[in-house]
Amino acid sequence: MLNKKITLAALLSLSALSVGTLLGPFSASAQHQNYPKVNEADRENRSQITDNKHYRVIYTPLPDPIPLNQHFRLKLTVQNAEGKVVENAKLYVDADMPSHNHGMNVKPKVKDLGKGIFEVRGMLFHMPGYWEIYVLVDHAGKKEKATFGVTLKMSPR
Amino acid sequence: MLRSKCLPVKSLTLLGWAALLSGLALAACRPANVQSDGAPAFSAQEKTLILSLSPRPRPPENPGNSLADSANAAHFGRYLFYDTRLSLKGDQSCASCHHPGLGWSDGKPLAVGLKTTSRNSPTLWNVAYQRWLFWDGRTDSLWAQSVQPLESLNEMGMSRVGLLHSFHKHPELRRGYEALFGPLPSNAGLPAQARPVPEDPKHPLQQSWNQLSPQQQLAVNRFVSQLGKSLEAFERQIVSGESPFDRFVADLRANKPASKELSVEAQKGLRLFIGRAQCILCHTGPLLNDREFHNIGLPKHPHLPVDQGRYAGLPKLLADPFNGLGPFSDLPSREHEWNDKLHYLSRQASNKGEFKTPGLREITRTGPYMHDGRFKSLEEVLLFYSQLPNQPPATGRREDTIPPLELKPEELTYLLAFLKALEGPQAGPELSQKPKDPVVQRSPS
Repeated sequence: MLNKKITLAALLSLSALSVGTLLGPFSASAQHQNYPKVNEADRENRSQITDNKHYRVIYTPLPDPIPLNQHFRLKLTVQNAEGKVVENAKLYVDADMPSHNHGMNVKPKVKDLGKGIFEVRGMLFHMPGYWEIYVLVDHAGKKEKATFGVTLKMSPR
Repeated sequence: MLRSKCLPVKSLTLLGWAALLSGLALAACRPANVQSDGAPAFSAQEKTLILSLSPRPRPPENPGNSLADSANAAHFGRYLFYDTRLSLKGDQSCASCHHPGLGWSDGKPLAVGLKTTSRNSPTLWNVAYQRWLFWDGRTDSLWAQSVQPLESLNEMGMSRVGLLHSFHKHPELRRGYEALFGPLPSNAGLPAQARPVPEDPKHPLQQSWNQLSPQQQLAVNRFVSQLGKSLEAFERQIVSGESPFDRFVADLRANKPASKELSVEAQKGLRLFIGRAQCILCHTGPLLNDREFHNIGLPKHPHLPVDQGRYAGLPKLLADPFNGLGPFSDLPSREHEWNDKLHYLSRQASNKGEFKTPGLREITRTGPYMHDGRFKSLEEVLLFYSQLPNQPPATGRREDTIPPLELKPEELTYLLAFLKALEGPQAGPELSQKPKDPVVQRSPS
């Protein structure tokens, strides 16, 4: 019994080590581990509340739906809890494939169009499957995060 | 009177009943997703994936080369492609490493020019579809790529100034050039060989290049970029024809039952490819290629230094004066959307050990495989994915989407049969032979 416990503990520690090694210096998911988890039922919702509930972030892709392996843009709208436009915020946007443990091969740029509307250029999802888009809202001394789930499917030619 | 197609029950013999019952029993044992001949009965979800792989579309445009789709430039490009006068010793052409009879590659593990290089010669099949060129993607267009082997000290060993002298020396080369681009730039007073050597500022070729005035450098750079653009116009024509897989997909699209275009084994391989083996994650779309870079965790090559792949290629790409942001591109502006791939590039630690995904059309013709040609056959490639070696990757980290496939021997056969079905017809003489004249000869109307 003791042996079994030791074996189990050894296995657990080994698996922890291997996970640690895997996550290692290149872990995309580690970079975004502080972002809120996406609720399964709400996974593909294009409107999400930030982690501390002060902001709502809404996105629309261009083109829509998001194409596989082509550049696309996002239009992001940031509102406060009362649904009013949030001016003078700064946004950070990135995306990962959590199950693949990698991100995009590009670094998108965010442009503030005013009136709480932002354009994100240079996004590219190069693989099919489940992606997460991470948005950091930096506004009035608060930094709050939102996560969007997007499943990218292959379509017939 | 209409005759029933059904067999009258009364007419069934005992033997007939036995056969019917055993047939029913077999059908009952057969999984629902398998047809009577053993071929997969593809589900709607599988069909969606299969239809994403065919037909092959026209190659994407390259607005950075105004002659990319010019027949005259392609003709001159073909003349140059097979011309050994473009090499330092006059014994090599582009076709030496990209031979049409060897899958537009060379059949060798590592390319051999003036010296043996550290990379496998990539095939030119369907090269027009690539987003990045070279295994490490260090150029963003085919014309920018074409310049580098001409000048590589391991490959053809020429320099752009040496090439200009050759074009002055050989009337046919000059005539071909001038028919497309106008007067050849002057070579008066230029050293015999000169070119930039960014990795070694003290290199004699760089020292010679420094002797040229900025105007002379500009003229020589424009000249060599035009050679590259002609070569691209030719190489864009090297596209796959219709394969058995394409015909199978056309039947599937038309809901034709039991297509015979693919063997049962190949269809089983196709099911594995889009299903359990998950090859389709990186080998997506009609070129079976995501045109991006991955670290599949190849261990260190026993005889080669560690190759950082995309990680080392990215700074070279951004420093290349022939990229889409440079003065030799034909894009109307640097902000043209074609340049988005450069504007938003990101160099990350995860790029270490990443190499470009090869397309799988014609893959049976283009061995050996991998960036360093370590696998002689596709069977070796599949065995790699099946077992995955115990050794760590040469550099970086293997992507999490690559678990050992643990393929059964028959599954290996199925995948090989599917890959074989991606072969189209061989290239015809209009691509595989050097034209007699560098200029298209128009017949009198």
